[in-house]
This record gives sequence, C-alpha cells and structure tokens, in this order.
Amino acid sequence: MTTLDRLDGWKAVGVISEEQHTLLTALVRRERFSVFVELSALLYLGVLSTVGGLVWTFREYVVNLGDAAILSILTLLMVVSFGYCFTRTPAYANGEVESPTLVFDYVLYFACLIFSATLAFLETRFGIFHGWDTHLLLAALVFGLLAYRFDNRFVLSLALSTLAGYVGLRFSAFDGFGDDRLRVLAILYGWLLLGIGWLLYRVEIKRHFLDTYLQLGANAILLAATHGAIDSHSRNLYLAPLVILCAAAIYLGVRFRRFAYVAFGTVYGYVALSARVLDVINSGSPTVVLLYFAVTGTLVVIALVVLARRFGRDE
Amino acid sequence: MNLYSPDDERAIREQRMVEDWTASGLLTPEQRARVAPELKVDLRRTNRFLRLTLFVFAYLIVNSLIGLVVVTLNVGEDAATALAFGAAVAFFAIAQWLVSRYRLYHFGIEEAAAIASISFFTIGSAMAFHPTVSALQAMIAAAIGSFVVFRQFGYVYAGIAALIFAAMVPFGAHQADTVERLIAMVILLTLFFVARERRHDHGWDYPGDTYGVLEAVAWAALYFLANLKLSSWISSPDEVRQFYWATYVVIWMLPVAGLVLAIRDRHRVLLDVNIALAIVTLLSNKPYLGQEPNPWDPIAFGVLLIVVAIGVRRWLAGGPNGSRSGFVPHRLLASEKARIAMAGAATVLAPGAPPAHTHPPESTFGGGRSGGGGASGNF
Repeated sequence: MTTLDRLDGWKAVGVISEEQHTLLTALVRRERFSVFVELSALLYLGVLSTVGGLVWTFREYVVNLGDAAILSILTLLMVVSFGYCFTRTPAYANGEVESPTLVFDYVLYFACLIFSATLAFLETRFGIFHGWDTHLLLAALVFGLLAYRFDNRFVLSLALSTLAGYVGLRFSAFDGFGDDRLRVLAILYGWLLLGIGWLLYRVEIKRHFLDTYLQLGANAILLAATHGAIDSHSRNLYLAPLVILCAAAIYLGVRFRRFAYVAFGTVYGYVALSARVLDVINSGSPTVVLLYFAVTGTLVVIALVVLARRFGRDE
Repeated sequence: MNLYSPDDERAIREQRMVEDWTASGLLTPEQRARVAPELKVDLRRTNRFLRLTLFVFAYLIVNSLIGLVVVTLNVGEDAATALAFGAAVAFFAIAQWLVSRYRLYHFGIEEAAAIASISFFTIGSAMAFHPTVSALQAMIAAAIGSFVVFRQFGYVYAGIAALIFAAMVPFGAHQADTVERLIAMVILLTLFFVARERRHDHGWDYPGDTYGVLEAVAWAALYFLANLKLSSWISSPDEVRQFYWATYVVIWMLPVAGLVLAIRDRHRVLLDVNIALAIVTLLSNKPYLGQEPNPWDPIAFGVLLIVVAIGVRRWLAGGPNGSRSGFVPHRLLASEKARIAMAGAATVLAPGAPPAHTHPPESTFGGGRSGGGGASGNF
C-alpha cells in the first residue's frame, strides 16, 4: 500500500478532511515543494564568505586603504545591518519567536560577524582593549544578548564559542586539553553553560535554547574529564567524578528521554574506564586486551539492549 | 531480496511523515492517534543515538573476537584468508538471524554484524590468490559485499558504499589515470541511470526514495572524479591537455544538468547535491584556469550566493499564491525548521571557533581570537 493509498483510505473513513487530503497529497506527490532549507544554506554560506573576504581584503590592503576607510566601511555595514534587524524585529517574547523574513537571521549573523571583525580590527591596530580578553568577553556578551533578543541559534552558538575563546578553549581540535589548566577551564566552562542554560530554562526565557547549552556543556565537561582520566598525572581525580557524571548523564538521559546523553555517558565512561583498567592490567598481551574488549563490549551491548527495549523505542 | 517487507518499510516512513505533519499542524494529535495503530510494525527499533552506540560496541566485539582467534591460534597467511571468509559468512548469517529471530530493524547490532561481514569478505578477497594484498580484488569484493548487504538489509549507506567501491575498481587496475577515470565515470553514469530508472519505477515511496539517494550519490561521485582539482589525491591526473579541458567543461555542465533534472523531478537530494556541486565549481574555477585568488573573491562569491538566494525567494514568492509550479520559499514542515535549528547549534563547532588561549603575535595586524566570526586569528 502506498502513502497515497493510505491518505485515500483515511479520507474515505473520515479521519482526515478533504482539505487535509488535498494538502497532504500535494506534499507526498511533491506538488508543494519548499526550498526554505536550501535558500537558508545559501544565505549562511554567502554571509560567511562575504565577511571572510572583507577581513582578507582589509588585511591585504590596510596600508592602501587606511584605518579610517576600513573603520568607516565596517561601521557602515554594522549600522545598516543592525538597523535592519532592530527596525524589522517583532516585539521581544520569552517564548520562541519566528523570524519576520527568511533573510532576517542572516542579516543579524552578518552584523554580528562584522561587529566581531570591527573589535578585532580596533584591537590589532590600536590595542584599545590591551589584550584579547576584554574584546572576547565584550563580543560574547553582545552576541548573547542579541541571540536572546532576536531568538537566533546561530548567534547563540557564536556567543558560546566566543565565550569559550574568552576562557581560553578550543573546540576545533581534540588536542586542546593538553594540560590540567585547560581541562579545568573546560570543565568550569561546561558547568557555566549548564548553569546558565538551566537558570534561563527555570525562569522560562527561551527554553528552546536549553539543548544547545546542555549539548555543549556536557561534552566540554565529559571530554575534558575523559582526557584527564587518561592523560593527567592526577588521573584518579578525574576518573571518580567522571564515572559519577557519566552515570548521571545516562540516568537523566533515560529519565528525560534525551538519548544523546545516554550515548555520551556510555562512550566517555567506557573510554576512560577502559584506558585505566588496561593501564592497570598492563600485561602487554594482546589476548588480554582483546578479551577485555570482547567481554566488556558484550556487557555494554546487553545493558543498552535492555535500555533500548524498555525506554528507547521511539525513533 | 530484502529481509523486511515493503509494507513495513513504507509504514515506518509513513510514521515519520505523520509525526512531521502533526508537529507542523497539518494533522491534529487526535488524528495522529487514530492513524497510528494502522502504521504499527512488528519490528524492534530504537532511536538513532542508541543505534549508533550499539553499532560501535557491537563492531568492537566482532573485531575483538576475530582478533582473539587470530592471536590465540597464531594463524598463518592462508589460514587468515580462510578465517576472513569464514567470519564474513558467519557474521552475515548472524545478522540475518538477528533480524529473522528478534525482528531487529536498524538496531545497531545486526548492522555491525552485516558491516563486519563486508569488512572480512574484503580482507579475505584482498589476500586470496595474491602474494601480498590486491587493491583491485579488495575493491571488487567490497562493492559486491556492500551491494549484497544493501539488497538484503536495505541499508542506504551500504548501497552508497557499493556504488563508491564499484567506481574505485578501475583505480586498482594500474592503468593511466585518464583511462581509470573514464572507466570509473562510465560505471558511475551507468549506476546513475540504473538507480534513476528504478526510482521512476517506484515513485517516491519505498524503495524509490532509497534509489533517489543512490542516484544523487552517483551523480556527485561522477562530478568528483571529473573535477581534477578536487580528486587529484585519489589519483594524480595525467598531463593530457584535451582531457583536462574536457573535464573543465564537464564540471560546469554537470551541476547545470543536475539542477534541471532535480527541479523537473522535484528530487530533494539531487537538488541539494547539485547546489553544492555548483558552489564547488565556482570555487574550482580559478585553480582550473591557473589564476591566483584575489582577497575580494570571497566577497564576490558570498554576494553572488546572497543575491541568488534573495532573487529566488522573491521570484518564487511573487508567483500566484506565493509559489511557482509548486515551489515555495517558505517552510512547509516542522522538520525543515528542526534542520535549521540543528545547523544553528552545530555552528558552534564550525571552523572559525576560537583558537587556544595564547598571547597575540607581535605583528601589527594579526592574532585575533574572536569567536566563530571569521574574524578570529589573523585579521
């Protein structure tokens, strides 16, 4: 039976109306076809490329153009794009707000990137912040406020990654947690995100942003702790809290039906524990290592199957 | 012959559609509740995160077990080949048994067994009748193994793997690069038309949707091989001047032809693939012509993308009832919004995120750490 047959059947027994049947049939036959996602992707890439090109051009031609010209161009772009956003935006609401137009979100993103570029320009040319910390903190705060004012996840991500820059973290590579200082910073950063996300959720401000905070915060904490449990001189200091955190991630993931956290807890916990156990066994025998993976892997699979059958059936 | 019935496969897809329609307000929760029993299937499923985790751990077990046999029995080369073939057969049978006995559907465990059977069949074939390892035999075996798993279990990724391995077969034949590429392109073009034909036979219902994905992937792979700047790491292009310029023409023609086909057929995956290919062609143009990039090239490129997006949106919205031939610029379904939201959250990991906490360099114009904004690093 095809989907169209099903729709005909539902209409015949009165489950759906004639109008619904017409609309859903058009969607299934692709007679109504949205290119919303494709246009959004083009706008996002276009904005990124344009700002990247501006930065490159200004860097290459700073002597020819002069500081005043570059600052004027950046300021003009910022004023126009922020002006567009503030004049077109609907009133602020704590709940989810739809963008007024398709391009709105990307004009805001463009404005934020230009703002960031302007701060970087001021710092590199005039050193007005006496270091990058103030610049990054300022940018993170402004992006955070704008993300909430305009209900924009792209800008929220920009704020969170800039905040990571402020605390000295790097998410683009896994070698970023090379020492205890960075690991502790990552863990603090993760808890900070979890705290902000939870607090704003509790006071019902943009509750739909919670997942962004949770995903990033949980991964920052678990990744740093896992790294510490494997690499650090004080491994046990990381391992014990990590095991508790992984258990908490699994428990809360099951309780709130957020199975991504079950996966995080399982994988991070298994990697850290396995590294430590194999380190302690230290037999050098491949048989022991392979046996360990076969036995413990089987235990994890059995536990996950039980979990999947009891809780994780929905797809 | 797929282990799952076409009715089950369709019902699973229809469940997803009903969820999406309900989330989009096109169906009421009451209507959803009324149609849900009709779409129930007698298969054990799980969500994508548990599926992925189960796959990883099951694959770990499979490989550990075979590793244990190799280490414990200290098997020689011939025995290792036989063991690989034996493991391939055994794990294929286990995957089938898990599906028929426990009715698992995309559950991770049976997938790991099926994929392991492809791996072991490939390893065994690469070592069989050869003093070392034969890349040609490995590619042929991987293509056959992936195709069998695709046919038996219906995994789209196995179909994609079969297609890619089939296209890689000529590169194991140690011929001139131009010859290898031409043969691979003929294979991909043939697979494209076969998948297209099969999709036309079934429409957009299962298995037409699966063949639609394979059709788009074959097209993308064809482009990838035609673009010598993009695929030079697979095989160093020859200095055949005519071939070089012929591929230059082809990389402009393929996205245009692909976009026409995708728009005519309303083929979402093919449309997305060809938009990406058109962008790659624009990026490949200067390297192909041997020209140096200018700092303002990204501005021109970015403005072009923005103008095209805004132009298309305005043109579509200007049509009768805000659409042209059924194409609309606004979103119709909740799943489209969810995809944008996911992309928005994922940009936190996009290139341009802040580098490590280091002191800025002494240069007068470099070393920023601004987050995610393209302004990070060397302004």
